[in-house]
Amino acid sequence: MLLYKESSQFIENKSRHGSLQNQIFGMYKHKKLKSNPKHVFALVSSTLKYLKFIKEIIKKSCLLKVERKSKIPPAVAILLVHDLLFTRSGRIQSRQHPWKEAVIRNQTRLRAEMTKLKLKLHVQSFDELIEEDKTPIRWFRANTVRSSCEQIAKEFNELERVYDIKSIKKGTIYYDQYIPNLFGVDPLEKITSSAAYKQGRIIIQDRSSCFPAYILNPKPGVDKVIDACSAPGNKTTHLASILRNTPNSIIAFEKDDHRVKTLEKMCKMAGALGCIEIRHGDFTQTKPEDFTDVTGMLVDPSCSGSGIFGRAYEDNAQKGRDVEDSNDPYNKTRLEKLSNFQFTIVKHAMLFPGLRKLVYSTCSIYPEEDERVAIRLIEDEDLKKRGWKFSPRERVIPDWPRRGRVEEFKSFDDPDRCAGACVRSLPKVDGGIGFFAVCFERGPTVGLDLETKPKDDGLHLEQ
Amino acid sequence: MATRAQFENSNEVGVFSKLTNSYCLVALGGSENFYSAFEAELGDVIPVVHTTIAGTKIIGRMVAGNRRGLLVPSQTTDQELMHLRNSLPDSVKIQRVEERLSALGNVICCNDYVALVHPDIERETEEIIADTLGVEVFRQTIAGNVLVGSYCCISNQGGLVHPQTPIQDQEELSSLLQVPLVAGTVNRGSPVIGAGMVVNDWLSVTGLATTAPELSVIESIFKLQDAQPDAISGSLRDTLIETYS
Amino acid sequence: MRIHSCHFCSSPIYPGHGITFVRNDGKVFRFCRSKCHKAFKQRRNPRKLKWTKAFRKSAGKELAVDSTLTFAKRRNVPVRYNRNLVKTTLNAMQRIEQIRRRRERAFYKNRMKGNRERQFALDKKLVEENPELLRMRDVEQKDKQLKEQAKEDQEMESAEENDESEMETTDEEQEEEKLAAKILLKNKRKTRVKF
Repeated sequence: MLLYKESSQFIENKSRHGSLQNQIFGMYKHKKLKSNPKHVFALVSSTLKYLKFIKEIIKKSCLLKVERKSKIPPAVAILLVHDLLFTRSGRIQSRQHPWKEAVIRNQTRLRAEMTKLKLKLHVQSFDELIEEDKTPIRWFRANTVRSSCEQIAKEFNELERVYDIKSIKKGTIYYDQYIPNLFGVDPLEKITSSAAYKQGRIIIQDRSSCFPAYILNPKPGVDKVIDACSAPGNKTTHLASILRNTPNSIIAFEKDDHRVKTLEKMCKMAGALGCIEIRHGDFTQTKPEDFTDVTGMLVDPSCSGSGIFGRAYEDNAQKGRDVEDSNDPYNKTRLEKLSNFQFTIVKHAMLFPGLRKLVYSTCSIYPEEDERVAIRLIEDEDLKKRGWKFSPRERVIPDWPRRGRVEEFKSFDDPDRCAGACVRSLPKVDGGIGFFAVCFERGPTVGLDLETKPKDDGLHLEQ
Repeated sequence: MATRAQFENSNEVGVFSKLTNSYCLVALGGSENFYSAFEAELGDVIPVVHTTIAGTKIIGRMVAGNRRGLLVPSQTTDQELMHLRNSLPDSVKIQRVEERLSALGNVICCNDYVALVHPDIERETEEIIADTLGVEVFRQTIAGNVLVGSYCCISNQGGLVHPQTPIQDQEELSSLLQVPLVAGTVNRGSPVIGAGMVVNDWLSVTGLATTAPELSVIESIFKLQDAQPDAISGSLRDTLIETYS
Repeated sequence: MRIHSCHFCSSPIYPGHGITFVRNDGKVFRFCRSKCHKAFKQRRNPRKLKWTKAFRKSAGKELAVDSTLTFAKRRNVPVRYNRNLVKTTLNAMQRIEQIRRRRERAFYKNRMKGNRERQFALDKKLVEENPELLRMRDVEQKDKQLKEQAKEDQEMESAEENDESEMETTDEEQEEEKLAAKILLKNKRKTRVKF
C-alpha cells in the first residue's frame, strides 16, 4: 500500500515543477520516497493516461460513497482502480489492507461500469481513445567523433532504406535530407540496445534539436564556440561532431550541479571531452571580455517545453485542464517570466566582443518564447549598435519549409526575410518535437560561413 | 424447439419453472402434461428437478441461475437446498443469497456470460452473482422497469425484451449482452416476458396462450431452429396451421 | 422442520410454538412466546434484560467467544449427501457438544473461583466492625438488665416522669434497629455475591 500512498501525491499535486520523471527520481534521491521509483513512475504515468476514464468509473460505481467507512483517499482509489482494471494482471500490488479490500469488494461493479463506459464510447479498449503520445520517428545522429556516417550506415544496413519520412516503419531507415549524418527509424526499433548506441557511436537526438548546431555551422580550427546552456549535452556533442573534435574549441556552460554530471557523462560517452571544456557555473555571470576568441554561440535556455510531448497527461493532470492554453493566467505569467529570462541570457551572450553568429533556440511552440524574444533582441538599442541582425534564409537551412510566424514580424519592413531567419517545427507533424531556432549574425566574418549557405561538410551522404 | 405448456391453468410457465443449459427446475404439483413438456426434450440431456423454493411453487421467480450456478433466496429451507444439491450436477454451484429483494428471478436476468440486475441490489449480492454464475453484472432497467428478470428473457443466442423498450435502450442492452435483442410479447400480448416463458440454447417453453407470430419471433431470435431465412416463414406457416386447425 | 431459536431470548422454538414476524424488508423474526414478542414490540433491548441469552453473553456470564460455538451456523452453500460425511458429522457433533459442555463447566468454575474467600473476607470485616455481634449473650443480658432497672425506676418514681431514663431507652432502641439493618444488609450482600 506504500507504493500507492506515495504515488498518490503525484496524482493530486497540482502545482509542481519539472517533469514527472524528474520529480519522482528526485524525491527518491532525497529519500522522500521509499518505494521503487521505477514502479512509482510506471504506475503514475499509466494512471494519468487513463485518468479521465478511471474518474468516470469511480464516480459511476459510487465506490467512494459505498466505501465511506474505509476512508480511501480519492487519489489512492484512482491508483487502485487503475491497477485492478487497466493492468494486464489486474492485481493490486499490496498485502491485505482495508483500502485494497474495499476496492476488491466492489470489483464487479467497477468492471461493469468499465464495460458500460467502453460501450458508451463505442470502443473495444480505451487505448483507442488515448492519443499516441510518442515520438513518431526515432532520430539518431552518427557521432562523427567516434565513427563515421558510412560506418553507421553499414552497421544498420539490415534496415531497408526509405526515402520518405512518411514511409518509416519497423525495419526501415531514413537518411535525413536536412541534417547530415542524421537517421530516422521507427520508435519500436531497439536502438538503445544496439552496440553502436552503447559505445557512443550514435547519439539519439531529435531532428529539430539538431538544427541549432547545424545552423551555427562553425569551421573546425577557425571558430571557437560557447554552448550557454549545455546540459544534457546533445547539442554540445553535435557541435563537437561538426568541429571534428578540434581541441579546445567548445566551452559548455551549465549551472545546475546535477545536470553538469549528466553533461559530463554525455560528453565522455561521445568521446568529445577533448574539445569540450565544461564550466560549471552561471553563464550570465561571465564577463564577455574574458572570451574574446569566441566567435559562435549556441543559446538554448530553459523554456516551457510546450513542444515536447510525452508529458501531456502529466501536464493535464497537473493543471486539471484538458488543453494547454497560452492565454491561461497561470501559463501567461510563467511564459512572461521565461521569456524575460530568455531575453536576458541571449542579450548577455550577444555582448561577447568576438561573437559573429548566435543561434537561439527553444523547444517551445509559443510565440512568446520564440519570435517575440527574437524581436525584442533585434530591437534592443545596445545590440543594434553592435550590428546584430537576422541571418538571411540562405544560411538557415533554406530548404526547411516551416519558418517563423510572419504575422509576428508585421512591424518590420520585410517580415518575410525576418521569418526566414527562423526555423520552426511542430510536434509530431514534423516528425519530432516542437522546436524553434533563430540565427543572428553581425559584421565581418571571421571564419563562420556567412557568405554562402552551409554546405555539406563531406560526411553528408548522397541523398 | 419451441413448445407451449400450461401450469395449473396458468400460462405463466416462467413463474413455475427455471430452464438453463445444464439443468431445469420445475415446481411441484403440476400436471403430467407440464412436466412432459420439459422431460420430452430434456429428459436424457439435463436433469429436470421437481422442487419448491421456500415451500412455494413460484420457483421461476425465486431463483436465478445459468449453466454454472444457481442462486436461491434466503427463505429457501435447508431441506430444499439439500434436495437441489443432490439433484443437480456437481459442476453447478448452489448458493443461498441473503438479499432484501428475495425474488431473485425477478431482479436477475442472466445468460452464461452476462447478468442484468435490479439497480438497488446489494453490493454483496452483486459479488455473489459474479462469483457463482461467472458473469459480468450490470445494473439495468428495462423500459423503465427495475424488475429486469420479469421483463426480459435472454439466452446465449438472443433475447426478448419488454415490447415498449425504446430502440436506443435495445441497442444499448444488446451491446451489453453481446446478443441480438428484439422487443416482443408472449402469451397473447403479455409484456411480462420473463414470467411467460423459459428458454435455453435449444428449447423454449412458453404459455399455452402464446400465438403463432409470437412463437415465430421467439424461435427466430433465440435461434431455436437452424434459422435459414425461409425457415422462419416455413415454421410460421406450420405454427399457424397448428393454431387454427 | 427446523428448530429455530428465539430472536429475543435465544431459546429454542419447537414446531407449533411461538410467533413469527416478517418485516417488510424480508427479515424474519421468530419469537418463542408472547413475552418475547411483546418485549420486542416495546423495543426492549435484549441485552439489557437479565433473562435473555444476549444479556448473559454480553455480561460475561456465559461462554460467548469459543470455537465450539461457531459450528452451529447457517450455511448458504450446501454439500452433496454423503453417508460417510453424515456419519462423521454426527460423531463430530457429539464430540463438539462434549467439549462445549466441558468448556462451559470450566468457564463457570473459573467465574465462581474465589467466591468463598471473598465471602469470608467480607464476613470477617463485618465482625471486626461490629464486635458485639459475637457477644450476643452479653448484649441480651445487658438489655434485660437495663429494662428491669427501668421498670424499677418507673415503679419507684411512679407518678413523676424521669426524662433521663426515657432518653436512655430510646437510645437503646435505636441501637437495636441499627443492628438489625446491618444484618439485613449482610444477607443482601451475600445473595448478590452468590448469584
